[in-house]
Amino acid sequence: MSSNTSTFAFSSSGLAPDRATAIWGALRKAIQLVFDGRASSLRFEELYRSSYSLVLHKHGAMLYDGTVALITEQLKKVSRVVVAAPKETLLDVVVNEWNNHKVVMVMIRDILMYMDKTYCKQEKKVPVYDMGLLLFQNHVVRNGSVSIKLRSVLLENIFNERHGEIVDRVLLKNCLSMLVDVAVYNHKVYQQVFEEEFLKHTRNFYAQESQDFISRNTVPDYLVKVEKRLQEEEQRAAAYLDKTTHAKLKAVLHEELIAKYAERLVADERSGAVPMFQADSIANMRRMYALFSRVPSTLDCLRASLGALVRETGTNIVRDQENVKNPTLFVQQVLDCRAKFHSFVVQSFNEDRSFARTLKDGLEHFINLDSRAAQYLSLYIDEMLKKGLKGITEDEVELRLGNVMSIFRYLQDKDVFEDFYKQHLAGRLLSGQSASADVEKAMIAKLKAECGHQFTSRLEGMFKDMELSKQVMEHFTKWKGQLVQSSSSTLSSIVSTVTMSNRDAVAAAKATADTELNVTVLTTGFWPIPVVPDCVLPQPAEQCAKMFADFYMNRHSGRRLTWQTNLGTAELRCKFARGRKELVVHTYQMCILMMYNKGDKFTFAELRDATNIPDAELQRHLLSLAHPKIKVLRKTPNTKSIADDHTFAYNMKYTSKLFRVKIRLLSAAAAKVEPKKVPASVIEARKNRVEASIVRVMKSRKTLDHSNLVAEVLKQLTSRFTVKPAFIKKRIESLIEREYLERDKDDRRQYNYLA
Amino acid sequence: KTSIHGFSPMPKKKSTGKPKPKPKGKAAKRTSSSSRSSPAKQVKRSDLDTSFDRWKAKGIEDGAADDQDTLQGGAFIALCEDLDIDVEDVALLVLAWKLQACHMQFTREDWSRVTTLGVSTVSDLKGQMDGLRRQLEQESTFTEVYNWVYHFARERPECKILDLETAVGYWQLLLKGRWNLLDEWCNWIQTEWKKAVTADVWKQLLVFTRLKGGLKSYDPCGSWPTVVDEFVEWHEAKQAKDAK
Repeated sequence: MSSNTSTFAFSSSGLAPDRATAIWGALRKAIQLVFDGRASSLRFEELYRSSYSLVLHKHGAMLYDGTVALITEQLKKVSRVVVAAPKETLLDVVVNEWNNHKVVMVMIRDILMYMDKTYCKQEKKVPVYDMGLLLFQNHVVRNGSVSIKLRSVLLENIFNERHGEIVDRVLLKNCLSMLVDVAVYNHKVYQQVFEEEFLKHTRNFYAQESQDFISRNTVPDYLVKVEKRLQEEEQRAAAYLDKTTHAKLKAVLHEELIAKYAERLVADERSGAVPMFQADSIANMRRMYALFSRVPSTLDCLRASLGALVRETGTNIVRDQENVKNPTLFVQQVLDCRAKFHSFVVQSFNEDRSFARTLKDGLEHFINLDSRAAQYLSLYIDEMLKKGLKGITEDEVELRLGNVMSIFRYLQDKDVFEDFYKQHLAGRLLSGQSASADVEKAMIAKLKAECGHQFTSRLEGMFKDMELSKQVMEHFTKWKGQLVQSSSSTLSSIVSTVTMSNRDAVAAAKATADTELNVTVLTTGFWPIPVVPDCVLPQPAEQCAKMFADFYMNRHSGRRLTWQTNLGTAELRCKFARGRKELVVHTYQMCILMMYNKGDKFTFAELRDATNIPDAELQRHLLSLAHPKIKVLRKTPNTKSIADDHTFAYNMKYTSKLFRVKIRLLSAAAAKVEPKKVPASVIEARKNRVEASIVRVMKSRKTLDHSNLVAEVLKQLTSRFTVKPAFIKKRIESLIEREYLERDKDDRRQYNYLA
Repeated sequence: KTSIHGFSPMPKKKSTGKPKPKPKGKAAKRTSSSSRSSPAKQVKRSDLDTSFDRWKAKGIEDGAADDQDTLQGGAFIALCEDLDIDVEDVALLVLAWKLQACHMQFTREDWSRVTTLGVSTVSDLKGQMDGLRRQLEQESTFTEVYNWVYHFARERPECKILDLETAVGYWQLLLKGRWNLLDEWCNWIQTEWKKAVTADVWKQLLVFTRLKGGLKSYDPCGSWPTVVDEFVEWHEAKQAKDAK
């Protein structure tokens, strides 16, 4: 370093003590000037060099300690000022002094930088700037009552601001950052002087406020207030609180405002969760969800409330007596229930998965409470298709089908639904009541997409049967027509297709020429139709039937035709005293009425023997004909019950306004479907499916232990229906008996597949 | 009281200790089994053969069908008399197992296996009865005999399951003293379950009686037959009720 003309010459060999002291004295004066704010007259270089030379010549200690003493003196003066300051201006004063001090310290640090870098480092002393801070802490902040007063002023400010007053946020911010800085960038002082009390204060404040508010206001209002308060606090924290306080403050707020009252808010009867759900207050619920999300554990009680309400609502729908009678209403209500809560899930709960699952569980619970849901769902579709789809757009239809599918997915015993659907579909197809084949097919397509083609194979089979029957009928009619109009030359070519002699064929055709026959051929496996004993058909019908049977058998050898006499209708032209009428009746009724070509009066026993119709059905059909409103037959005695000797006479005096009369059939005593029980036919089907599944699994695994086998089978079947493990066990036993499986000789828990 | 074998026992004769006199003059019937014997034993074998004939005749007297070369029905009574054992002695079942006899009858072929016991006369066989009984003390032998009884006890070969009454009778015979729940089981299965017994159930029951730790270690989700599950359920319910 080059020397120049300066009053501070030094020699390389050292500094004499008195020289050092002089230099120090000069420095001290300079520092004092800095304190007094008159630093502009000083020359930085000189001061720097002074301190440099002192340190260089091993006088660092003197320099350091001296500086410390100086600063301390100064700060004592400062603290007197601070202590004397009244409350209203305390913050101002403190911050002022602090800012001054900082400026001073910077200057001093610059001057003494060499000391910092060498002496302080070597001697491991706190650098001068930081020392300045610490000194400020000790002598000003921690001075007796200063900290306490400071605290109280700060808290008062915040309290006021919370009550809506405006406070000087910059001042507060500076004060608080002072507290942080003053501990050399750790937060102990800040926490001790301010933060701890602040948090306590906050907690008490809100504990009080919330309690007051909640007891006098509704839940939605409370939620609004909480939202507001939280926003405020966040703003405040950002504006002047130290960053480290933010999380702690949030925790306190969440606890005092939300967590503490969560259960109460949800459970409040007048305005809590349940009323909000019922009133469709989506916005309120959204707010509640947003707030509760801050404290995730509180979401549990909200979710539980949703689940409980869904179940309750649903159970009421299921138990509602009105719905028992009206399937459409039932389904509609279920759909509404689902839609309602679904909109909450989407709009208020932000599609939260756990809430969606709670809704799903709740719906599943009550839909599966008893097997009526499956039945009614099928009836809903049945009614929709029977009543006609006039005035309903394609989109609407699509929507309805979609709705039905969404409920279908919640069914646990899907095969019960399949059973009912089969029955209803059969009814619709056979009586020609289906309004639209397209819609029917669309429904089946949806079921197929959901459950696989096995589920719908029989339903589709039913449709095919109907179409095929139409084709067969066309051929038959053509063939018969040809026979009737045949000339002998063309006879042989036509008749060779049938196993009748030429003459018989023509005779039969001519004889039945004025009897129109319409046949629907059903494949046995597809249709849920019980087997009934054959009844005795009247002669013309019998001939027609035989003719058709022969025709069909020739086209499809190897098949067996059985006439389902418990179904079907007939149109009879009847002679009455007042003229002819056409009666549309059931097959059995046709048998009965045709008897009256041979006589006027018959007893019940005679009718039964002659027609071979099962008793219960015979009674039903006779009563329909003899019904007082209909009176095609006259019953003696005219009672509802029938005994063997009661007689039925043809009523020549029968009249009706219409020419073509449809005779209404008394409905059969409906087979009581126990709502809770699964229909027997379904249980039988299940047995077979379970066994098939067991065999499938065992065939591929060759050997498997019991619990795994049961688990695999359950997995395979769970999409169709649910069964208990005990049910599967019984099937396993049955298969062991029939030697499809065996128990392993060494491990009784293991099963082996027997090819 | 009819025995488990389904026929009424003749009044028990006191054992005199004298062996039955060998019928003289009856030619030994040449059967396939005796044709396999070594010449030295030929004469003595005929004692077993002739006894077989004698018992068979007794059986036919008692009403058994005479078109088959087997011992059935009343023949057993005569057999047991000669062997000086009770008709319901387990030794008979062990013997049946040794002979691999099924369907409540000893065919002549079955009978020919009696030589595996190391006997050549009926009196020899009589002396073996105790030995047969003692064989049951070995667990593995007992298991085999027990399992075999299922085949033996089914009178009609075409019927694959054992009727309940017979099953209960044999259970009482075989498991007496070996299972503390025997009486409860027999009672319960006759009053509550009432169905015939399959081979699987028969076999698994023995395993069940040997279940270590008793009913407390019973696993209802295990691979036990459902009848056992139901029994355990009933038993537990009864115990709960009795405890009150």
